[in-house]
Amino acid sequence: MGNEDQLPELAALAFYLDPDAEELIGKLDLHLKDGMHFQEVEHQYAQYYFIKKNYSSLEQYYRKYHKLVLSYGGEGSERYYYLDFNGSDRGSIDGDHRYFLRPEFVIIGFMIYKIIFIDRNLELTSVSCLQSMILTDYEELMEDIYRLLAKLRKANATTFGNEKVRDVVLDALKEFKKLGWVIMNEDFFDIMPSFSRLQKVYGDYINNLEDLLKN
Amino acid sequence: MRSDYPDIPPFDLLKEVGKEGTYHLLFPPLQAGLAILNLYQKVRSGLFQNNRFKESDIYAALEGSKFILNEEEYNRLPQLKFNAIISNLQVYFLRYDTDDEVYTLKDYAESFCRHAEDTLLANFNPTQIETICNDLRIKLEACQDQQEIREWIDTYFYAFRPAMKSQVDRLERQVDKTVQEIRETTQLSDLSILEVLKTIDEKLDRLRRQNEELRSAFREMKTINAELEAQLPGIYDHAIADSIAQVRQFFPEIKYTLNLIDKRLDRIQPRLRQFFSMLNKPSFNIRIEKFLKFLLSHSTLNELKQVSLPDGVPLVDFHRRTSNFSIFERREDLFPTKPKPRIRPAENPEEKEKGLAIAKKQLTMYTKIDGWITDILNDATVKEVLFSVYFFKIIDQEQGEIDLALNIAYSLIRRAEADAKLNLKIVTKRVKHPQHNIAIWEMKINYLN
Repeated sequence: MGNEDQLPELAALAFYLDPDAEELIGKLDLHLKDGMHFQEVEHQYAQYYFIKKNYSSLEQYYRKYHKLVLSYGGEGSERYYYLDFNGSDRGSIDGDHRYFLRPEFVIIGFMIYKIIFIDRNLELTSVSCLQSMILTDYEELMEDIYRLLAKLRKANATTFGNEKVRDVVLDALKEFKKLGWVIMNEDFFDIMPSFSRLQKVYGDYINNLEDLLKN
Repeated sequence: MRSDYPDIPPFDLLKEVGKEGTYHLLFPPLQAGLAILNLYQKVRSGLFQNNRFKESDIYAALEGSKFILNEEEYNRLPQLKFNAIISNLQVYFLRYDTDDEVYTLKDYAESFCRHAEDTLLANFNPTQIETICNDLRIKLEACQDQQEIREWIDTYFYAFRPAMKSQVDRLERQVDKTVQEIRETTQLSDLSILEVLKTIDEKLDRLRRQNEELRSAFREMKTINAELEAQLPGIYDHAIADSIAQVRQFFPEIKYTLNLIDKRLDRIQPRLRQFFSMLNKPSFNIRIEKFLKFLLSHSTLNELKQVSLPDGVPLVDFHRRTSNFSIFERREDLFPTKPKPRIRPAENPEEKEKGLAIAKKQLTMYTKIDGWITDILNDATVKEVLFSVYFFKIIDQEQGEIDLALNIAYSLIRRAEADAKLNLKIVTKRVKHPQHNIAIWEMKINYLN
């Protein structure tokens, strides 16, 4: 963009000159602040390329004016962009405006990861199949699934408990959809590259599980 | 090694096969063999729950094989013969569960069928399909009447249909198989998995190409379909019309299946590639599983029945709640406008007269302006004119009213702006009207040559 020799304040606003800015920037900004991740997938092409093209100026803009880091993960076609709300300045963000992913959703996120990528159900794209798999294929995890997700003390399968688990799985997918981690349309869902953000975020804890277990 | 045990004679395959009809048990007669293939196919496509089937399913498979053989002799299958076939098949092909009265395929049956399948798979040949399609089209176009069309359907189309279907089914089964292979790699824990998955990825690429080839081979079908549609009005025989409808139904079905295969490939491949990048860290996946178990077993419920992650595992901020925009609007559906009577003002002749007079006055003024400007510009074509002369003349004629004169002055200036040849020069020297207290800057007007 050739803005290196310009004043830094101007470089932060260089994206302003992009011909697509007028159409995209308003919603893009809202979505980014809503936690949306953008990747090279059909419904996000325009936004993805806009960010990619104007990355350095957008990055400066968010750092300078919002104290947020416009970050990215993934390689090649797996690349995704997002605003990182967990940067060093997070103390300065007003508590009312912070939103944490519900613990249940974190757990379900890892379950989905396990089902699709570790147990290799690569073709799984049905929400109802996913719900059934969680309920039937993971005997050894069932007790805790009922305890935490259905919030039931007795671990025996009941229609009531199963319904609650199904509901929370669906809620989690809806939340992931808002984050851009999955796409979902009625019973169809698909995992987007940014889904790997979850394990990236918890990477340190995953790698140092022994330390956690000591406590 | 067998030869290590001198007491046991070496295994003689031919001799063994020759014993007591073993050959026929290993290589079942045509009808039974086809039935087994039929059952194998149904098991593979998941038609039977837990891959178990009933005796009636075997009967249906035996019945079905007569359609493939196109022979009449199996029209009615005596119960006894049926029973004999099944008990022969039980030796190597079928396993019977007496308690539940269900059958499953034995390993021998599976590998028997799979071997045949794999062998035939190598025969994937879209070019052949293309040739046949082309041929079919030419033959159809040559049809003169409905009788010939019937012959075309009976002789050529019905012969072609299984060939096309089997190519498509084959492709679909290949995709199934590949998905199965991906699932099976969970058993592989060493690094060789990467190689296996690369092969699978290449296989998917090949399947995609084949699907594409099949689709293009199938393109002729569109023409055939259109041709049949064009023929329909000339068909009076209901039976033939029904057959045509069936033929035409076949095309969208095939197309649908091809699209379905495409969609599946579209979904599997990106995930497979996503999966590659995770494979670079195989131990990481094991850690993720451990972490998930840890989250599940160590998370707790508080008194409000809210889940808390284990101590030391923080929650992560995933988005900032943006402001809720206050939308300030008066909703028509909630606050409908009160109906008000419409008041039609009574006509006041005096006011009407006044209004008309004003409008008329404006009109006359425009006519006058036009008249004056024409005069001034006509004079200016001859020689340079001074606007003040006209200006004062107009004021005199209008009994000291300045409106018309001013309008003319503005119009002139505008004209001069639009017309490059019209030259208007303003001299900043006031010229005074002899009687009225009015003065203007002089304007000199002429035409440039």
